[in-house]
Amino acid sequence: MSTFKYGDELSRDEFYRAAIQPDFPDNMQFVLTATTNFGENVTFSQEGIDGMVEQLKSFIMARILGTWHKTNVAPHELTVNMRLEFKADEMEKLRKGDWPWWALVDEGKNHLDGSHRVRDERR
Amino acid sequence: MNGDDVLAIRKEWEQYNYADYLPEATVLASRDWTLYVRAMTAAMPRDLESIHYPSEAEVRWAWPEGVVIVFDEPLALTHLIISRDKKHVGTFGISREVEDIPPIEERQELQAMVFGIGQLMKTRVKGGSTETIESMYAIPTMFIGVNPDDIISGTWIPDGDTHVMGGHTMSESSMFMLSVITALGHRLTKHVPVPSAGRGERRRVQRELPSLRMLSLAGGASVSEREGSPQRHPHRFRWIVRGHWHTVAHGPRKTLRRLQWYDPYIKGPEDKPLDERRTVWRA
Repeated sequence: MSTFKYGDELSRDEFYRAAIQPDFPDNMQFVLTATTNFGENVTFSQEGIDGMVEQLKSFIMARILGTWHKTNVAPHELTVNMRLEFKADEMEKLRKGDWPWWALVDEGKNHLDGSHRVRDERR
Repeated sequence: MNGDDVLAIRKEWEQYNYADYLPEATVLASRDWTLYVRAMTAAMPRDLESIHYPSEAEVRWAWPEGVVIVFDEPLALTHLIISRDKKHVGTFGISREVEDIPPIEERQELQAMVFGIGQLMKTRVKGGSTETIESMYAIPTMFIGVNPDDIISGTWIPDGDTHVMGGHTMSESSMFMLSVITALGHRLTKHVPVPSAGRGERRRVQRELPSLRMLSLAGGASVSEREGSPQRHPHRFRWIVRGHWHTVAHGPRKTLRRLQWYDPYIKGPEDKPLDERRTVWRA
C-alpha cells in the first residue's frame, strides 16, 4: 500500500503521473495530519480535507486512465471499494494538555479569576 | 432525578463536541448536598483578593480521571466571563481561538459541573491574544448549562492561587468551585446509590454508567468532645455550630493564607438537650 500525505513535497501533477502507471497499487492510504505546532489550530482544516478529497478524485481518475492505457480499451464500469478509517487520538492529546481552552495569567504569571464562555448569543 | 434521568442527560451531551472530554465517572448531587455547598459559598468572605485552592491530597480528591457532577436541581450561578470563542469555530466546532473581552458578570442555569484530568495547561497573558509557552498544572473545569449549548470553562489550580480580576470581586463560580472541591472530600459527604424506579432501571444504570452514585449529606453533625470554656450563664441546650471558613496560615514560615472549611459540630454541655431547631441552608 502506498501512502500519500497531504502537504508532502509532491505536486498534483507528479502524483497524477505516478498514479497513471498501470502497476501503481490500487490500495492507497491518504493521511491527513493536523499541524502539531503548539497553539495553532490543532484539528484538521477545511483546506486540508478539501485537499484530501481532491487527491481521492485524482487517484480514481488516474486509475481509470491507467487501466485504459494498460488494456487499450476504455473502461465502462467502475467499482471503488472504500474502507474508511478515521483514527483520532483526542484522549492521548487531552492528557498532554491539548484542551480547547486556556488559563489566563497576569504579567507576573499569576492565575486570574474568570471563565471562558463558548457562546455569546444566549444568556 | 433518578438514574434514567442522568443517563438521558449524558445521552443528550453525546451530540455535542465536548462529549469526548467528558469523564465516565458521574455523581448526582442531591438537593441537600447542593444547598449545603451553596451555603458554604455564601459563607465565604466577600472581599477576597485571591483564593488559594487546595491540593488534590488536601481534599482527598478521588477522581484522577475526572468526574461529572450532575445537579439534581439546576441552579443559577454567576460567572465572571473574560473570554469567548472567536466567531469562526473551526471545522468540527471546537474553537482553538479565544478573544479577551472586558470582564463581565453573567448568569448561567447550571445543570452540571465537570472536572477533567490534571494536566499542564497553556496560559495566556491578560490582554494578549496568543498563549505563552509557560504552562501550569491545572485541572480543567467545565460548567454545563441546562441548555447543553451553554458551556463555560475554567480551571482549578491545585495548591495554587487565583487572583481577583482588577476592579471586580471574586466570582461566585470560583467560590462555588472551591466549595464543591472542599465538600466532595469532607466527611459530611456520603456516596449513596441513586434512587431508581425499579429493577430495569437499576440494570440499565449498572450497564451504562456503573460508577453512578449520589452525593448526599450525612445525617447529623459530628460531636465535639471539647469542654466548654467558663461561662457567665450555664447553657440550657446543646447546639449545632454551623460550618464555617477559617483563614489558615500555611506555606514557608506560614506566610501564605488559605481558606479552610470547618464542618458543623455540636457544642454545649453534654447533659443538656440538643436545640433541634433546624438549620436552614439559604442559597
